[in-house]
Amino acid sequence: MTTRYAVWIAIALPATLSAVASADTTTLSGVYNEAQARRGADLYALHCALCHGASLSGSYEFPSLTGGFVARWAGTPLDRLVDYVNRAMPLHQPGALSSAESVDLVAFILEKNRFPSGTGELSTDANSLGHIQFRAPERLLP
Amino acid sequence: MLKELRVVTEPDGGTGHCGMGERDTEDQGLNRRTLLKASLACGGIAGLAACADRVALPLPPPRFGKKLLMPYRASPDRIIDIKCCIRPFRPQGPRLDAERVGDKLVVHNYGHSGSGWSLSWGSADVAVEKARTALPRRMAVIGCGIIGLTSAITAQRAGLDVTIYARDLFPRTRSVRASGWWTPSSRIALTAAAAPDFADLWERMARFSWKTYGSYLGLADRPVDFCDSYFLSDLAPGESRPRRYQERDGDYASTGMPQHQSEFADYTARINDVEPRSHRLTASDNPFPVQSGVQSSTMFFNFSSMGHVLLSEFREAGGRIEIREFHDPSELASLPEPVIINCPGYAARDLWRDSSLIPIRGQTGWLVPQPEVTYALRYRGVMVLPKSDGVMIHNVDPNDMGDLYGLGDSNELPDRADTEDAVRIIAELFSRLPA
Repeated sequence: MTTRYAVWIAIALPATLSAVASADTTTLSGVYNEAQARRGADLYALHCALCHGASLSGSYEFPSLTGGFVARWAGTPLDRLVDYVNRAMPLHQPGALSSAESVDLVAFILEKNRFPSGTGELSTDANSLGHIQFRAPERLLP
Repeated sequence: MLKELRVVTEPDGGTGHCGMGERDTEDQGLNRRTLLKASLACGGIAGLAACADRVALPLPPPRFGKKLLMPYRASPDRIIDIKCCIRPFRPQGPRLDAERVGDKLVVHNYGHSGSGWSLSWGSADVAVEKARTALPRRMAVIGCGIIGLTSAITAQRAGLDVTIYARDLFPRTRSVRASGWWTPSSRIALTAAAAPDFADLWERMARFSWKTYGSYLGLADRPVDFCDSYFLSDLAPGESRPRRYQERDGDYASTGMPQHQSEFADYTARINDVEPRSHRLTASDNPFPVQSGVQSSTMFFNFSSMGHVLLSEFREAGGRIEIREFHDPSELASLPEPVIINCPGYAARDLWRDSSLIPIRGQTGWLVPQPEVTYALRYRGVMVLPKSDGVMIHNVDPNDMGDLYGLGDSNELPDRADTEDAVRIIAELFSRLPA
């Protein structure tokens, strides 16, 4: 019985995370997975690297997407970041990214800021994203 | 569908106003329009005569080598910076209304397009006066570009305790990527979209700004300065050439975007009485190797010193700055100040989801400073200005599009080829001078 219960958890949990995050879910909870971050990396190279740089370090004119980026978004629900990417980015063609592409990009940015990955993917569902708090990572950047 | 080519015509003489603003779409072709408007503002033919009387004092004839008009050293290898910005254009004109967000009163102050620097003090005065109706003692200002800084200082001058909340501080704001000319009517609104009383509001803001900037003249490091300016052309007065840009069908009302230069409002004639007047250069007093020219004077802003002056003034008056980024208007509820002046510039499109903002891309190139050069010029669609922080070179109108150039373009990546083209145009001009 215990084994069967554990198997059910293993199967159901990723899907559950994707659907509705619990009230205390944060960016430290493993809210994306590596496959999603890899898709986000490809999108980043295509749409974002020209301005924000290949290493996400930004420039004098364009903001960094690591380091101070965390301070800019800490304390907000993740739906605001995803919504911002979806509406406003890339600057020269705002609105060009689909919802799925926007969450993949956010997954990549979370990975580059050393937030832990998990087993499930970040959902495009605004309600689910709204229950994930953006927190500071526990591991510092190298 | 494309329409017929328009013709650019040279001015055929006269005296009037000749700002070095961005809205003139060819070296001198639209000077004629500007000059004509100036004469009309003075009361038509009789007025023109009166204007001429007022400015009848002869100008000293400048001479290279004698009058010490030094040439620009225009060369691509002297480019030290290229800056791109997005002008936040609203067809209706700047947003200056007030609204409630939770228990906060928010007074908007954004959407000044290519006139942000020029109208900043007047616009700040309008916004602060509105905000004061709520009788606040403390006020928050969102944004630290030229609109935010002037709003904050204006509020301090009204006796308020002010905190600026901003993601970036001057000089890393878009304001510092502008050109810094006095251009109070540059793409400020569309005539058909602006409210009937906007022209009066614009005039109030322009006059207030002009006076306030005047109070910064004569300071050390020249935060605000004047210089002679020359519109130069290879065409003789009265000559014309085909306009390269082919205008499109429709207009703002039918397409959601302006399609013609003529849709942009031009209020400059309303302040003719305070701006310096222009004079056609005669063949004997034209020091440049061109067919014709018009001389005037222009006011401009040196960003480095102006930024230091304004930030120092704000801090010395007890102002506080907090680095903070807002992602949704509801986050303003967490501020301790009951009244907020909202000056986010183009970012309002994202923060306030203001889809009325239309981006207009602008780019300036910066050459090694040349303090020995003391005049500005405009030639073949390129403007050059001898600022203390570098020689600013601006490819204003490379293809006769006028105010439509850059419309709808929000790409802020520098285009070096564009600046090099502008530099070569100016280099070719000065290469004609005898060795």
